[in-house]
Amino acid sequence: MRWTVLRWIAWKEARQLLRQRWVPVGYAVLFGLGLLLWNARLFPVGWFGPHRVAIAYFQLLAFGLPWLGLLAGAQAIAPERETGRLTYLLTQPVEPSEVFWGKALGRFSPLAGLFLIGQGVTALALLRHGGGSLGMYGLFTAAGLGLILLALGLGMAVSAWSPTQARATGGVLGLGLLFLLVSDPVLLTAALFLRLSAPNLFFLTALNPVQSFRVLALSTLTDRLDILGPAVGWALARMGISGLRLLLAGSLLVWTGMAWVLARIRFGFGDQAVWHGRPSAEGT
Amino acid sequence: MMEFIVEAEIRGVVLGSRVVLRDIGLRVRPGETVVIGGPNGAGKTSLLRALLGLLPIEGTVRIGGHDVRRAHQAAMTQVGYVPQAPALFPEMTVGEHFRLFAALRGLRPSTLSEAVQAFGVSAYLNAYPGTLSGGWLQRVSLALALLGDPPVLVLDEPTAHLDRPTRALLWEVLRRKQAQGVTVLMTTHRWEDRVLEAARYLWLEDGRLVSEAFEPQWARLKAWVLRQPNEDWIRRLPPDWQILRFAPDGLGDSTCVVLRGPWASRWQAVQTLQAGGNAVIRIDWLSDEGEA
Repeated sequence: MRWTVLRWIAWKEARQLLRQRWVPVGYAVLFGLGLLLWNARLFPVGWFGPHRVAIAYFQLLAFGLPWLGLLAGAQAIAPERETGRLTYLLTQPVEPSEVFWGKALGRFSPLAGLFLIGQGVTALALLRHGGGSLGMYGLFTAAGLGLILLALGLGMAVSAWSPTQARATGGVLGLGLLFLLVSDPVLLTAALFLRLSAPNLFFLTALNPVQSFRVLALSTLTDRLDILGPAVGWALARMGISGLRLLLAGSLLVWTGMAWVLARIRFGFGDQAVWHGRPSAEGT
Repeated sequence: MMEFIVEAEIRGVVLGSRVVLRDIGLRVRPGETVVIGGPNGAGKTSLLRALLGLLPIEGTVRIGGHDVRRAHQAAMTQVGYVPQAPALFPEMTVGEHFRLFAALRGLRPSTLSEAVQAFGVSAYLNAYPGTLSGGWLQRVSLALALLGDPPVLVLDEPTAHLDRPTRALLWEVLRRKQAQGVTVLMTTHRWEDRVLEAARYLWLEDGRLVSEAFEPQWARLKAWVLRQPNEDWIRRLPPDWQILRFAPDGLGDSTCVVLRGPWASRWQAVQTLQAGGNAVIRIDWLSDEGEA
């Protein structure tokens, strides 16, 4: 793999992503809301207590980052395949792996860069209002980057397996809804009707990478994670806070690895020919 | 020097449940021009994609001695490709396309000017593809294909979006490239695209090469000659050539001449018309069944 080629393809992808504007706008909204929340922390009583504000901020990121990553990933491959632009790019002297990793790097960099800028600004707000451990904030930021990497990988996997942009977008919308909205009520219902034990409930929760991120993020804020219920309480008693963090980070890592392997397998398959499993509108 | 710059033995290409190409053997010598014709859906675009290693083929394709699938990158250094529909990236300016494609080919920015100027796109370097017409997009694609002077040009219906002056410019550039020894592989379903001299014509139908050297029997051409032409040329026309129309074109100070005759002597007929001291403004090639 040649670094120059990788860099230029990454440059093209980053340019495309930033010029579409929805990513910077999405981040601006996300961190705008975040700053409002941190400023609300000036009133350290009632609903605006520091923990509640921080929890709300983490929830905001846990909701926003996956959508941004999934959508950015969905647009990486399928739309170019559908319009013949991927074919065009591949007729240049490039290797498929250079195109794939260039795309990954070019889409991760702006997502991660904008996230870090936002986190930096909120960290300043946090310091100004005199709170929190910067070490823990760093851990939370690392988990956030992990979540972006995971969501982008899932988006690219869906995109790599989709023949059209519409299917890729539909796929990531379904996946986002599953991880962010549907899994909670399903788990609650299962717990009620199947009378799941605390360990089972915990492991089922940890299977959802977004939930893993949420618990991991909250663990950087407080050691009193038993407030999250008996499942996390059981895990905390069994593994301790470090073990719990390790397990949740492991869940994120496994999901991330799986997503990227799936994306890469379908993109390359050892033969660029499979990218065109169907004739495009361009001709026969 | 290698004997064949493009060598393909394609036993089959299947897309979904449809066999789009079968039993195709193609060998192209360096500097040769191959024009692939055929009706819509015959498999012309698929054949070019298979040659570029972009379709799952049963068989082998080598360009410049490199297997297009196993050594894709090395094979593509030999190729400049123009897709049928311009496939530029909407969020990048024309200039950024040149920078990107040059970088992917390991070229320095100073080497770009020739390609940019060949199709007169320098005025549009800051434009986004969405703001350009189909013809200008095609010009940009053609100029991008010339980057780095690749020894093989693969053009998929390159005249599809071009007006007549730009088509004439394309033929001029291609003739120049032919003279430089560049190999040209081109698909078309336009009769008038068969004007390249010394070209080998292939005819594709239902995914098969039905004729390795398809030659139509008759040619029909429409020429515009400035003012009333000197009529000496009429006596010198090659045998079996007929004048179907010879009248002022009604639009300006020119005369429209439509001729029909054997395909084999078409260039002789053109030379005869020009040799009479007539200023031929333009020549269009027509399908023999087409309108005169």
